[in-house]
Amino acid sequence: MKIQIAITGRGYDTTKVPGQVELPTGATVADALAAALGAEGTGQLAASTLVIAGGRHLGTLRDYENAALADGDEVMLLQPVAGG
Amino acid sequence: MSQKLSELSDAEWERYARQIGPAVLSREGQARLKASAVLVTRVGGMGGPAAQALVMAGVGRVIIAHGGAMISPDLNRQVLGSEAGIGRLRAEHFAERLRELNRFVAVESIDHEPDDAEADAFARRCDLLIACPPTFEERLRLNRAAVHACKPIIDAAQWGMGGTLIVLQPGQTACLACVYPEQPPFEEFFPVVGAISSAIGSLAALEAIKILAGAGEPMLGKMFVYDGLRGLPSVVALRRNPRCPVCAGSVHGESAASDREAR
Repeated sequence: MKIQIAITGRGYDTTKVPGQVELPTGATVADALAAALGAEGTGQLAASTLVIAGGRHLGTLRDYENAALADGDEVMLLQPVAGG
Repeated sequence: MSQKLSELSDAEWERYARQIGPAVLSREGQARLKASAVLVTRVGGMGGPAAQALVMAGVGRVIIAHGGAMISPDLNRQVLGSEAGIGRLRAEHFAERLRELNRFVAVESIDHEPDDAEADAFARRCDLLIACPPTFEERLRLNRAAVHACKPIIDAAQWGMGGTLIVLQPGQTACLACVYPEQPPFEEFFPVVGAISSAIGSLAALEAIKILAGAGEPMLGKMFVYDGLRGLPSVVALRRNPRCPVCAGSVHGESAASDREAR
């Protein structure tokens, strides 16, 4: 199945991810992140980065619900922003 | 909000004529706005446009908090600033600008960021809080105050050409600590284009107006994410953390009702 990957929020310009990954049926958010981020894994992102899949907030990279994905879902990583 | 809805003068009804009617506000909703008080902190890139829209819409009392004096780089996004205001205290200058917009609205200003006790006191006095500070420490402090007082809080944030808007009702939805259980990294010199600040700030005001006036469907429990670099909007349903150290066990309505009685 095809899963869209998006990264947004703080530092969206410096963290590169593929726009889409191909995964077997039954794959989870953790599988998608491993496929998208490669050898460096999530270590390149702050633990406070939000994990979102299919429009649902699942937690942060430190502690998230490892939900099952469906074909066409989008996994979004949002590095929190503040600004002012 | 006072139990008895405020009366509006003929001049006020004339002022707000374009925002009363089908698809906008009811007359009762407009009266509810007049009876409302909102705290906006801080009042720069996002809080400025938010405060501006609240004052123009007729929210009865708008309280702004912002420390320090204006500097030139503020003016790429802080719409309440001006060339003449550089070097002046931001809160005082911004309050003057807001008062020029609407004589029917009371504008209060505080020249510093509220500490824990002040945030709690303001949350009790106000009907809604809008958080626009550059630090998560301040945002989470305002969130705690909102939870203690059981008042809705809108968190507006920006970075580069993108931004997020979170609309929360303690006791009913997640709180900001459910979303940010640990403080994300702080970046003092964050990049930002003023257009995104104004967009997010204006949307924060729109959500506030809807909540206060009882209009439309506020985005309660949701995060609006706008990736301006790519022109992509998203809406995210936020989950409540049943073990949240700030909001677990809070029930919507309890503190808010007691605050109304105390005012």
